[in-house]
Amino acid sequence: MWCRKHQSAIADALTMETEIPGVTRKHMESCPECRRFLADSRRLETDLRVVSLEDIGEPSQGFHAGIMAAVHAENRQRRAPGKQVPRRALRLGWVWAGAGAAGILLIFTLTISWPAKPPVEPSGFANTGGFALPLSVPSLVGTADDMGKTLDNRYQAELGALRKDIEAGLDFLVTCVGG
Amino acid sequence: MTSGTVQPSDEALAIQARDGGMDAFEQLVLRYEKRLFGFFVVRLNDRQTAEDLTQETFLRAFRHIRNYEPEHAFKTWLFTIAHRLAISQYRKRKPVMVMETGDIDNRTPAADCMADERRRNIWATARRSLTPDQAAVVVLKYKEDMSVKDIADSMNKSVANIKVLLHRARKQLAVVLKKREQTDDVLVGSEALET
Repeated sequence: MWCRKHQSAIADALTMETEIPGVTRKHMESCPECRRFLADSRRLETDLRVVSLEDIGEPSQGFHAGIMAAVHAENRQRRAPGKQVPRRALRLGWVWAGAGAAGILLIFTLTISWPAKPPVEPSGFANTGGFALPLSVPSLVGTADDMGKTLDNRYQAELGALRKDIEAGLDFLVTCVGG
Repeated sequence: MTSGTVQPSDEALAIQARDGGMDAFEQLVLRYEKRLFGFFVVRLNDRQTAEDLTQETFLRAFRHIRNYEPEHAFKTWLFTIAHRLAISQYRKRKPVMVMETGDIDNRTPAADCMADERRRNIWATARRSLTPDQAAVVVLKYKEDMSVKDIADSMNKSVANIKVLLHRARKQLAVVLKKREQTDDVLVGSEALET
């Protein structure tokens, strides 16, 4: 039971290249098992350090040339400014394309489904002559015709603003994908 | 020792390569290609994949050499790339178990020759009997002479984890080598009886 603890301390000392603790050294004086463990571990470490990795085999002929050819090709691609494609942009290309397509679809849907004129007010409402809407909408004051025109103008203005926003967004996407 | 010129350090070469020096990068390739190949062979047990991954490691190093910071050891940086590639490769498929014919068939009868053979084949034994992580840790520790801290950094593991991996790897290797030793002793014993 104690041997396991001491062997763990020996292994730790070998790994960290530190001194074996005094308690363990004292234990080893009377424990041939732990002395053998230390000797075997040291021999193994020496073998691992001394024996060359090349003994497990050399790479094939033209290995170095192959690596350098690939590196030079990469270097040429890096130096050709017109042909260089940013890898991140390339990787995200599909994402941007998807986002662009979704944007176009959104514009198309809005253009189709947005009513050309605002809904017609009920006749009773239009015949009231001069009237005042609630205070929260103070600009919409006047006849029903006035109100219709005002709503139409606002609708056109908002639609225009929305189109500008979408166009700006698309420009941004195009810049990101292109740059 | 005939040459009086001092070889530039890896870090100095990496700085030159970062500034566009292709010759410096080639020097680094020459220094590390076989070491990386060995690392991958022991780890993945497949020579062809080891060659491919060695090439890919250098390509990635070249692509990202601008990000290299010379205050970190170039070796640690390079083996970090190699380790990540090995992991992604290992995830793609299980390692191929290849029997080393030379390991078993070319054994010589005398016990001392057997011991030499056993020693000579210690990396082949490691390749077959250790897990990929254990093999990587053993290569980095005993062939690349990296500290436990550097190994932990390059493998993105804790120091304690690396210590455990090393301990288990040594234990496993000791068990396998001991078994082989016992088998060899039996062979030598039977040969002695025959003569």
